[in-house]
Amino acid sequence: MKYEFDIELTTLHVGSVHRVVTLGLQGSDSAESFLNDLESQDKRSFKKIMGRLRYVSDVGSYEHKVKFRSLGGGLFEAKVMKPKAVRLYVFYDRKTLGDESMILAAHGGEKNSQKRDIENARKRKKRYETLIKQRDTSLQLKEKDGEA
Amino acid sequence: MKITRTKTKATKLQKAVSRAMESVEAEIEYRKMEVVDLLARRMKEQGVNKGELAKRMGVANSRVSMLLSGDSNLTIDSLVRAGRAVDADLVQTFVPRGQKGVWVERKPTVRSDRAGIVYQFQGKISSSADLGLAATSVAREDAEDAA
Repeated sequence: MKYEFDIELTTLHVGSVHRVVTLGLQGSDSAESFLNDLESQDKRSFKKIMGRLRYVSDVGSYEHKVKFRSLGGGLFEAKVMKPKAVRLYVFYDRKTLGDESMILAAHGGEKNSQKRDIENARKRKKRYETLIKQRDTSLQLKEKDGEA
Repeated sequence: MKITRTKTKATKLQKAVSRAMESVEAEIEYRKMEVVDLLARRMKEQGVNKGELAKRMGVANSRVSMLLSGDSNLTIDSLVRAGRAVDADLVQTFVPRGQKGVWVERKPTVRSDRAGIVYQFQGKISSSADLGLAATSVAREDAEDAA
């Protein structure tokens, strides 16, 4: 099946250093689905994850053993423990948009699927990084409504 | 690679994210991360590790681990002690929501033993009512600087 864009990035937040987006690849955006579900099922964790992304998007580089753990290979895990243990997997791209740096949410999930989720996130990151190197790749950046 | 930027009507998720970013829960998470991150950066600058911080604060290592996890209830008490342990003072204020500005070192307006360590938040002042008396005192100091 042919998609209009190979990569679709949906802006969630524009911080003072990084733009936070969800990563859509060939019509599938698992981070967006995860966040949509989380928002309807567990608003408190959703808000905490958003607070965390807001902070990370406001500082040049950030790493924290618990809140924003490096999983190696450029992948990070934003984990919220209470009320429910949920994890969002993200990585940085400081090049593709030129001066604008991005944090891309690749995947998310709960503790019971952590291993599989990390594998998935890595696959999606790798796929994205392969695609952006190809000349015929099309990328759509969905900005936020009302963004300057 | 061809990059297309589009502005579309906000999706359900984008709207929810905007609301969540402004929520009190997000703000608490943000401030906890910020203060712990600032402390961790200061520790690095000062070459103080966790064990050393605990020693200087006079608390057990586990207390320091909790503090640095950013999930514990961060008290003024422990933050001031942690600050002292890395040769720094904790600075606090309340800023009217949405106010943008910078920290400026406040010159003592009266004779003070603590000169030079007092900071205040100086915003873009659209009306003097925004910052109340602080605005007037900042303005006055600026006028003195110009004179």
